[in-house]
Amino acid sequence: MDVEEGLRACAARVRADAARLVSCAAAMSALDGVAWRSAAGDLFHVQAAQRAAALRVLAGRAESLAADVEALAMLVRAAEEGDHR
Amino acid sequence: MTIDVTGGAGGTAAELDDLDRAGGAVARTGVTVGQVAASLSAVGWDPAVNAAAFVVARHDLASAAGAAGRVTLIALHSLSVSGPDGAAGEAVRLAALGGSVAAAAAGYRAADAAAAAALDDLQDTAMGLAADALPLLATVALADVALEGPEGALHRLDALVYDQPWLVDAATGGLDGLVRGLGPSDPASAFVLGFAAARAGVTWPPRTEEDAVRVIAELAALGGGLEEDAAWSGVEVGEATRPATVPAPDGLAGLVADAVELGDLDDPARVRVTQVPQPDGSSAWILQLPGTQDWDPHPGDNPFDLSTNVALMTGEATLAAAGGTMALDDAMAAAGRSGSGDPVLLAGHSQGGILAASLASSAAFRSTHRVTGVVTMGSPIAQFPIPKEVQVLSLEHVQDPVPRLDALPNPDRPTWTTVRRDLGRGTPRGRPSAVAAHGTAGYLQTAKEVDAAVAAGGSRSLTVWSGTAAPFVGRAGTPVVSTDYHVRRTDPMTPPGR
Repeated sequence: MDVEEGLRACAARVRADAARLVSCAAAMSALDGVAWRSAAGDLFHVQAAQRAAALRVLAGRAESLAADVEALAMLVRAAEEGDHR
Repeated sequence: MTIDVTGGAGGTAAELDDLDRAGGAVARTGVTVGQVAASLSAVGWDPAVNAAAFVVARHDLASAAGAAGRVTLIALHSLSVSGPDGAAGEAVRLAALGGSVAAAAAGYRAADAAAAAALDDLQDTAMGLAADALPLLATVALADVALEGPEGALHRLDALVYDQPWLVDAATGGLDGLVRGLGPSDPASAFVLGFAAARAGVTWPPRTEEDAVRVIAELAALGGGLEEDAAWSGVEVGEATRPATVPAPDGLAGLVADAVELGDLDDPARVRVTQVPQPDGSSAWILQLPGTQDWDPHPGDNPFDLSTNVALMTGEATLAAAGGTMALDDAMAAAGRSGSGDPVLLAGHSQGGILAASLASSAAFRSTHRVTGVVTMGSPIAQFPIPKEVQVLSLEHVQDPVPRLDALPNPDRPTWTTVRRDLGRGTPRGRPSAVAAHGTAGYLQTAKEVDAAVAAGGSRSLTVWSGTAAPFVGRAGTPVVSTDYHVRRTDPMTPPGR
């Protein structure tokens, strides 16, 4: 596998990780339906919602990392094509 | 609306099960996020990323610095998104949250168990003290009877139990304490109770309410009463009516209306089997059992009597249950549905409910009948090991002493819903009466309130129960086949000592 392919594979892995984080965020949001009616339960629901939000932000950061890696792959490709020309 | 719904799909146990699931889900999410953190941290060390700057430099030296800058940025970005401020930190926070939820569920359960144990000890101690005071209480009671006559004293007792239903809890919940307390009160009592316990196979002193009931039942048997198997050895069923095509029970109230009819003492000792046709060609079956109809301690040919109550509460087999089974089997055979695996709902008022719970708890009965539901009205059935896959609905009145006789709250589980109605001052008799609070007329009104609550959709437990009961009581207007069977004890034996 050449470097450009390696970079694209790396970016695909990072995008898959971002998708897993989105799934995790959805799983945390689904806990909204847990019937825990007390002060502790209210705190749990607040924390679950916070964790879901944090995971969505993390997923966005992972998408951004994947974009950085893809941009590097394009730079490598451009350099290689320029040399061939 | 005066009904209070506990247990079932919206009950505390279901909530704790929900908490367990939530804790597990959070912990699993934490593990997944930890794996993602490890994967993201590897980006900064990826061979392709680290080789990229060299490849660019080899082909385009002018772009090399830019490429090296991007690689550094990616490494830093990777560390940031996977590290303590990123996925790794989030994994730790999720693990902590999952652990907290699991600990909370365990804490709730432990606190509930500790409270139940403390209350049980308190009842035993109180009834032990009551045993010491028994001679004084008996004197007061006799004076009461002398002053007001037996009927007046009974009315006062009826009203007292209605107004103070917790007295029944205290008395039955402390039955083992009472029996233990009676033992040391005098040598003669100690000898008789010890002898009765030995005959009942109970280690003295009794440690549970069930063992205490066994000792008391054995005591009664020594006096020649309450023992069904000493007087009768068989049971037979005969159709009381031709199978009749009638409208299907309309909701829970339709089911309870059948219980009201079976309670008619002008035509006693009947059980009712109802075949409810289903859209797929199969059938659902309802076996409705009556309440206690004969209070004579010496068992007669009507099996729905006091001796059956005692046998049921001590876990013994009864001819009444055998008769109910024979009636159901006969109706299923007549319809060509024997061994079909059709669902069966067992229902009953008072003793009928205890019989229903007893049959649902019987592995032998379940091996030949697919019991999917039990509905009881005013029945003490908390101690019956009804399998979790069977949906139970228990109707109880706050002022009805009978469902309190087992001294236990009904299990709080997702498939066991208990509905309690506070009758306030409005009993069918127009005055405070524990006897009236136990009657089927009041339970018919309670069933109507349950149907209204189901229609309103305000209770998750009732909504879920209603869904499971739909094959039996959710097909209003459909013609069903209803058959009443007379159940009679047969083969009288000579009671010992006669």
